[in-house]
Amino acid sequence: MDRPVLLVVAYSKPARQALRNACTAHDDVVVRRFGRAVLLRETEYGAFLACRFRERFGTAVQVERTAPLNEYRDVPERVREAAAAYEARESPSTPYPKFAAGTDHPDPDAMRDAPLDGTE
Amino acid sequence: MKARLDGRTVRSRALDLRERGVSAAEAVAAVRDPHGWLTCRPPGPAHAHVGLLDGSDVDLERALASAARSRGLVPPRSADLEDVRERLAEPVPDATGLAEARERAARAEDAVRDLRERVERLGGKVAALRDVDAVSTSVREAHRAAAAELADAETERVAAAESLTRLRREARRVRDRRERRLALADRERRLSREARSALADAVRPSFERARRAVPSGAWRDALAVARVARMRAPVVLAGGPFERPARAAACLDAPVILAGPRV
Repeated sequence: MDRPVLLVVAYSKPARQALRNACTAHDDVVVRRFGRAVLLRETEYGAFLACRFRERFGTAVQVERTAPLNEYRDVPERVREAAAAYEARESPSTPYPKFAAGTDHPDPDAMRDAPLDGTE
Repeated sequence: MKARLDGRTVRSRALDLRERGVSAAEAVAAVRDPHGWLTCRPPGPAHAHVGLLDGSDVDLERALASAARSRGLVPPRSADLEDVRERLAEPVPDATGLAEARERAARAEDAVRDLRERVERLGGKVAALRDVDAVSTSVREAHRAAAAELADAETERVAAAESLTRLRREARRVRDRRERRLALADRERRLSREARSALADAVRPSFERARRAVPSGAWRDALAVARVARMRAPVVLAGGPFERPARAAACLDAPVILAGPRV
């Protein structure tokens, strides 16, 4: 998946059923199917389907544009490095806050409140 | 039961209406209608499954569960199920105005972009004219008006974005609640399946005995379920192995109407 996609999630049984039917009928638009969610190719036709879902189901569907994450572009280096270091830790049972304490790795609470650039 | 037919009233536990041109469908409708030509006890839980016997297959587990209910059996965890159903009966949460808010935000962004271009263009014009000392009041005025419009549009864009953010948050809360509701619906399905199977199991020995007491043939299972169930409202038979209604009533241990073919 190297291009942006539309994420459509169903929040009611009729919406879920309609999503399922649409996936079967338009599988060329579907990038991936999950239980109640589907990723559509970001084309006018994908948007056409997404808009139809919104018209029919209102709040019972959620439509988002999503894009692939390039951590080398979108994620601060210290965060990336902390993730790599933590995954390479010697003791698997060490929780991250303990692992990060007393090192240069970022504090988990500070990361929680820091938005990624360009996101909310 | 009491039937008023052709101006006469008949009281009986076993009626034969085949010669009177009453179809099975009409008879069932009369049983289920509290104000019709037939007066009888109201149909209980099993009537939907074995209130009309016309030789078609019964969904045995559902029918047996309804028979168990008609005998007053209560499945385990029925309070849980009731609680879940009550919660599902609550109104479905919703958020409105999101589409309008999206449209307003998109329009406001467009307006700001257009006005910004206009202000820049007019600004450039004013500067160019000033260089040659030829600025007219009208150009300066147009530039000022566009700048004022841009300021208004920017205020509107901020307001629209705030309103959209607020509604999106509300929609997220609504979806959280809908998600819990979906989980609840799954739980409802699971619990009612469990209840049905427990109820059916509880009367299965009676059902097996009843099968040996009713006429054999294609109607056997349905007749046996009707015999197991406590049928206070009449069972309507469209055809079947019984020639005389009294025999049917005795075999099914229920009030009975023999009717013409199902219409």
